[in-house]
Amino acid sequence: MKESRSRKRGSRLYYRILGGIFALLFLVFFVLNLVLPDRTLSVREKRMLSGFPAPQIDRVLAGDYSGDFEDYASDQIPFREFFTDLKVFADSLVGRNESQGVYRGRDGRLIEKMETPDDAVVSRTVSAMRRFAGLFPLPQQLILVPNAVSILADELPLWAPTADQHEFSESIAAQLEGSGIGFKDLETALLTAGLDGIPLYYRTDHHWTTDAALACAPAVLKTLGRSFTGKGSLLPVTHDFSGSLSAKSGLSMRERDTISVWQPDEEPVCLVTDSAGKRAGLYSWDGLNSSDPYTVFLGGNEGLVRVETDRIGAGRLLVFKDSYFNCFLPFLTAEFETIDVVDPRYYSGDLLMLMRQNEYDQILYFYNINTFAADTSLALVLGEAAEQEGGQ
Amino acid sequence: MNRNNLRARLPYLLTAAVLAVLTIVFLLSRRPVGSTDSSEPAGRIYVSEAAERAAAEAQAKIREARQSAAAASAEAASSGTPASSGTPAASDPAASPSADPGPDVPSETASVPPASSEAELLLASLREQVRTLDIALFSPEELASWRRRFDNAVFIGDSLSQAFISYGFFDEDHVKYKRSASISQLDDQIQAAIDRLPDTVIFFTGLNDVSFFINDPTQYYEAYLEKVNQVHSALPNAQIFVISLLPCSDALAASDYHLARSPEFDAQLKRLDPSSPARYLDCHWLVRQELYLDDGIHFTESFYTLLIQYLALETGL
Repeated sequence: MKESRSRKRGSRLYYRILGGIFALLFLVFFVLNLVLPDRTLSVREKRMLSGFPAPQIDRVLAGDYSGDFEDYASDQIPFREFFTDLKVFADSLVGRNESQGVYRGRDGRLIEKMETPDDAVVSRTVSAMRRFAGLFPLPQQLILVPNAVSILADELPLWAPTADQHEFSESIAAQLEGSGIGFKDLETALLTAGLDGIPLYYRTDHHWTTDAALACAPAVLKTLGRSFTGKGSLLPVTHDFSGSLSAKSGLSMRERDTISVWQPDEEPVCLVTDSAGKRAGLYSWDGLNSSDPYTVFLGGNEGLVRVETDRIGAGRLLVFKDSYFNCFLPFLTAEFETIDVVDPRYYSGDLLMLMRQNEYDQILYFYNINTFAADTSLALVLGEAAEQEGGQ
Repeated sequence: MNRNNLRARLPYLLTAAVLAVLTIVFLLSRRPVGSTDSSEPAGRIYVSEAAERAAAEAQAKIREARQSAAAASAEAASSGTPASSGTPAASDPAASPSADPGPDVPSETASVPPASSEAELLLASLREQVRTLDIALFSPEELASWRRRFDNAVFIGDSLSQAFISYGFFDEDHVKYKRSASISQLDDQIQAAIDRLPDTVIFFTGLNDVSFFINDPTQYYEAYLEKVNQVHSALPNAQIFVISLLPCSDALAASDYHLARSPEFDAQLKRLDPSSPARYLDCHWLVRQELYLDDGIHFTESFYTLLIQYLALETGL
C-alpha cells in the first residue's frame, strides 16, 4: 500500500518534471528567438541565411508564405550549429553516411554524388556550343574533368548509387563529333596520377587539388597545341581548409585540407582584372584569410576575369569555365598573352561584343563533369550571342 | 524492498547512462579544432597599397613589352624581312608555338602615330556632321573597336557620364558615375576609377555643380583641382582630361537664371588647364540645340557618338 503510494507520488513528480521541461523548452526557445538578433551570414555553411519574410498578401494567399517562414525559422533557430551537429551525429549512429547528396567515403573523405544528367539540358548545352563554333570557327576544345565520384569510386560507400561519368563523357564526345570542337577527357591522366599516389581531390571539398591539375597540365596544354615545361613547384599555402562539401553536409567538420598553389620558376608578369579592380600576380592572397580559402585562386565568383601577361604575341585565349579551372589557370599564363576567363553562371556582359572587341585565337571550355552535366548557363550565354549574331 | 526499488528504476538508470555516454561522445566529437573560421565574407575585401603598386608595375611592364613588340614588328615590316611572328620581343622563348603571327599585334599601339592629315579629315567630318546634323551612329563592329580603344580609359562623372552606359557605349567598368552629384561628392567613384589603374581618366560632369557652388564659382574650380590632383597623385602616369561644362539648352536657359550662369563656371574649369595636370577639352562646338534631350540638360545618342570620336582624337587613344 504504502509502497505503491510512494511510487505513485514519485511517478507523479516524474511526469511533472517531464512536462515542465517540455514546456520550458518551448518557452526558452520562444524567448530566445525573440531576443537574439537575426544572423545574415553562416560562415560555416558559406551561405546567406534567410531573413524574416515580410508578409505579403499574394504570397500568403498562394500558400508560399508558410514555406518562407519555415525557412526563416529553421535558419535562425538558436544554437543552429549545435543542432546540425546533433543531427549528423544521430545519423552516423544509425549508419547513415549520406547527407545533402554528399557521401562520407572510406576514412572520412567526402564525395559528392553525381545526379543522373538530364539529357535535354546537356544536349541544349552541346548544341549551343556547336552553333557558336559554327559562327566563330576558331580552334576550340572542351576539356572535362571527372569528379571524385568516378576517379575515387573505390572509396565510395558500398553500393552507393551514382551516375556513370565515363559513359557521360563518351556520349558528349559522340555529340561533338564533326563540330570542330576538340574533346578531351582527363580521366586517364587523373587515374594515372592516382596510381602515383598524388592526392587528386580535397577531402572536404568538391574541387580537384592543384596536384591533380599539375598532373593534367601536360595533357591539357598538348590539346591546346602548346607544351608544358613544368618548371616550378607546388607551394602549400594553408593547412586549414574546410571545404564546401563539409559545409554543405555537416559531415567531417573537423577535417582540414591543405591547399597548394603552383609557383612557376620563371613567373611571367601577370595582371589580373576583375570586378574588384586590378592586381598583379596569379593569386589573390587575401582570399586565404577569408572564410573560403579556395578564393585564393582567381578570387571569388567572377563573371569575367582578364589575365594579361608579358608574353606578347603568344596568343589570346577565351575560356568558358567553372571553378575547377581556377586552380588550373596558372599553368596557362606562360603560354598566352591574354586569357579572358568567363564563368557563364555569373557573366552578365555581352559575349558577342567581347568576341568582337578581342580577336581571340582560341576558345577553351573547361568544366568538371558534375557541373557540365547540370549547367544551363553556358547554353544561355552562348545562345544569346549566337542569336544576336545570327539575327543580323 | 531496496532491491525491488532498484530493479524498478533500472530501465531509467540505463537510459540515463546511455544518454550520458552519447552526450559525452557527441560533445567530444564537436570539440572545436582550433577555430579557423574568420567572420570575413569570402573574396577580396580591400586592396592594399603595396598590392596596388605591384599591379601598376605589372601593367607598366606589360605595356612596355607590347610597345617593344609593336616597334619590333613595325621595324621588321619596314625593313621588309618577313618577321615570322612577334617572338623577337617576347621576353621568354617558351612562348614559341604562338598561334598568330604579327597581324594581331595590338592595333591601339600600331595606330598611335596617326597621320595628322587623317586626324584633320576626321575632325572635318565631325564638323560636317555637327553642321548638317546628319550623324552616323556606330555599327556593332565600330562600337567594338571604339570600346577597344577606350579599354584603358575611365570616365568619372554624373548623369552625363552615365549616358555612356545607358546608350550602350561603355560598361560599368569604364564609367564611374553618381547621378546628380557634384564633383565634390564623387570620392567613391574616383577611388573606383583609380582601382582600375587606367591610362586615361576623363572627367565629364554637368550642371549639378552650378547649383552646388552657386555662391562662389571659384570653389568649383578648387573642388575640381583637388580631385584632379587626387587622381594624379595616385596615377602619376595617367593622362587626365576634363570635358568642358556644357550649357543647358537655350530654352531652359531663358527660364532658369541659375543654369544660365553655367558659362561662368566653365570659365573656372578652363583654369585647370594651365594650373593642373589635367587638360581641358573644349567640346562646345559639338553642342547643337537639336542634340539636347527634352529636359534641356542631357544629350542624345548622336551627340555622344560625336563626342567619343572627338575624345579619341584629342586623347590620342
